Amino acid sequence: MSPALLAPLALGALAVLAIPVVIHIARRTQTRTIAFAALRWLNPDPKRRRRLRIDERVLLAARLALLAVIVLGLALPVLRDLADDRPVFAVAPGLAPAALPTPQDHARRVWLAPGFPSLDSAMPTGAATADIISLIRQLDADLPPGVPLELVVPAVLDGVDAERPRLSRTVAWRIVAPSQPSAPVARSATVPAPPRLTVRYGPTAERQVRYFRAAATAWTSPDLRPAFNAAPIDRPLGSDPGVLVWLAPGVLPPDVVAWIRAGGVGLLSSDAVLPFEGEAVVVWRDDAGQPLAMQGLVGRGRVLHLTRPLTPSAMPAVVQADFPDALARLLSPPPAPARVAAVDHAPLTGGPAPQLPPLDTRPWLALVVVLLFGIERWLATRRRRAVAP
Amino acid sequence: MSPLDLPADLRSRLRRLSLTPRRAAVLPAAGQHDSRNRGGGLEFAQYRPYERGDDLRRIDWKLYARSDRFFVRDAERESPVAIWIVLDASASMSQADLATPQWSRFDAARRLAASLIEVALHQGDRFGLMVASAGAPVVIEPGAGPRHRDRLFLALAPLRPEGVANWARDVPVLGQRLGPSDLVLILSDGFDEACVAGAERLAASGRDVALIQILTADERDFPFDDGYRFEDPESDGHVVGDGRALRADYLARMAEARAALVARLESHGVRHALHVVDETADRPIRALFREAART
Repeated sequence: MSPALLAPLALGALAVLAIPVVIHIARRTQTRTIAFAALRWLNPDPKRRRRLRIDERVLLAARLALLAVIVLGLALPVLRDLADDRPVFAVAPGLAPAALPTPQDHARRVWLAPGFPSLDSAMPTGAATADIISLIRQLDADLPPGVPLELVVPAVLDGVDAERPRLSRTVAWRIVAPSQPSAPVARSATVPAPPRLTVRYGPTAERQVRYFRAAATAWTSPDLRPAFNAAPIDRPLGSDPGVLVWLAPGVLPPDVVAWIRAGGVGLLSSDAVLPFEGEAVVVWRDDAGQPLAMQGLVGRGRVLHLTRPLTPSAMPAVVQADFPDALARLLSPPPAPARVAAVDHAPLTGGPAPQLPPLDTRPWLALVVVLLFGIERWLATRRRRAVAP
Repeated sequence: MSPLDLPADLRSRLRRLSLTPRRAAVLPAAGQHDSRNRGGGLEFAQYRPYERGDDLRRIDWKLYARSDRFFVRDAERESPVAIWIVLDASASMSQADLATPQWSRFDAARRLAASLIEVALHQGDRFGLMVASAGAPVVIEPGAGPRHRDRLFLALAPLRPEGVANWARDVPVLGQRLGPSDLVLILSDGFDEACVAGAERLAASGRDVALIQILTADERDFPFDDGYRFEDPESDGHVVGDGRALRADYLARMAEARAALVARLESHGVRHALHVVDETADRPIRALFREAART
């Protein structure tokens, strides 16, 4: 535990301590008048002995303390390194208790779950346990540097991200068998169904519909009818349009915008107008690296906005052989791989050292201020206080 | 606490005191000058046989011629000693201590006067009063007896010290009324030069004069610790200063002035005593007349 000041320059306000001191001195310089007949034996010009005499020292001390604490509060005092520095023994939920290694005696034993409940409490279940790598990162960031961390995880981790976690410390990575066997791992990934296209085109864009019809035909096997629906823009969208391809200039009609906002996916031609909410990212580039489509969010829906007109001269990709694949990736991107063997996903070291938030002591100082103010008022207003001259 | 009501313990101590004129030693056979005894007055009292030591001039020679024996004329004498109490009622007498603001120097002086009257009454002497103040002087001719005491108390009770006493005017007024063997007791703070000079003048004319200087405890101790503005009640002079800074110098100067006053009074034959307002009133009387009783 080490105290520190976040704004030490505020201590310059300690100069206000001079005010009560001056008040208590100034009261002394006033003189009382008394009759004194033996005046002729008083030296009319005594040597000036400037002695600072302080009146009511207890009251002055209370006032000085009050001001000092207030100024100290302005300087934002904090206490660092207050965290628990016992070793931590964290267990991923779902592991058999009998298989757990024995932790050190004084270790803090927690579940790897949000809030890090104690191991003595019930095993957390459900979606809360999903993102185990994120929880490991959080646990590492919450612990002071140098605290040993022991992690007990199942042999297979789900929901991991692409990078091995990089922590600030070396952790003990223990792998045990889960209490119930996990679902069998699918050997071959199921091919997702191709997106169903609903094209609405303006009067000038009828020629561009064929690219999408060709793509939809390419996605389906030859004996099936492609899931494709093209119509002018004045036709309604239907109950389940799939992916909307909008090929018309100008602002989209309100019902289409409302459908996108409710969670639909739309691909807009370059002359359609629908502003993104938030940031737009480039999701499709040509061979030269020039952006072809931007993706952004509108409400809860996703909008892909082409940056060029849909002509072979402006956008050669539409006539190339891999246009259906590119369009499929664009409309329904494949999920990222998220399952890994725990052996291969042991955390790396070398992450940034955790910066623990310091404890703000101002609420306690406020309590002290109130207490001191009460003492000061009591001293200043008590009955047997000497009458101030 | 009225200054004229004497506490019982003070009264009992006063009973053992006496006011003795300095000239008591040279009064032949006066003793304690009991009243109604025989002495050298004008009124004839009786004849008594001559005794050794009697003044030859007092022998009645005509009676000797008739009876062939020596007789001495004795006269009835009134009490030969009148005790004059001179009270200073100038503004400086109103000063009181910081600790006891209701007991002023003038109160102490009046209690001392009441004590002197008590002693004088007890020993049968006559006593008179003069109050020196800014206005016309209050003079009560000497008399004896409890009724006269009450008369004096009646005059003392309503007095308020104010202004500057005119000693140069009042001392001759007193001098005209003084008998040859009268005792004058001046109760004052002794700060007024004219007061001391008047006492000296009375002493120089052969009167028995005593000055009881009355100081306040503040003047004796100077217990002031803070800054004060000291004001002279009889002039517009003032001194502003810190009590601690002034104290040592003041005490030295005050002792010096007191010694100078004592030396001056001694050299003029004025008896003197010091009374501080926080002391009992019998102490200055005892101090003043113990010495006289010894001579």
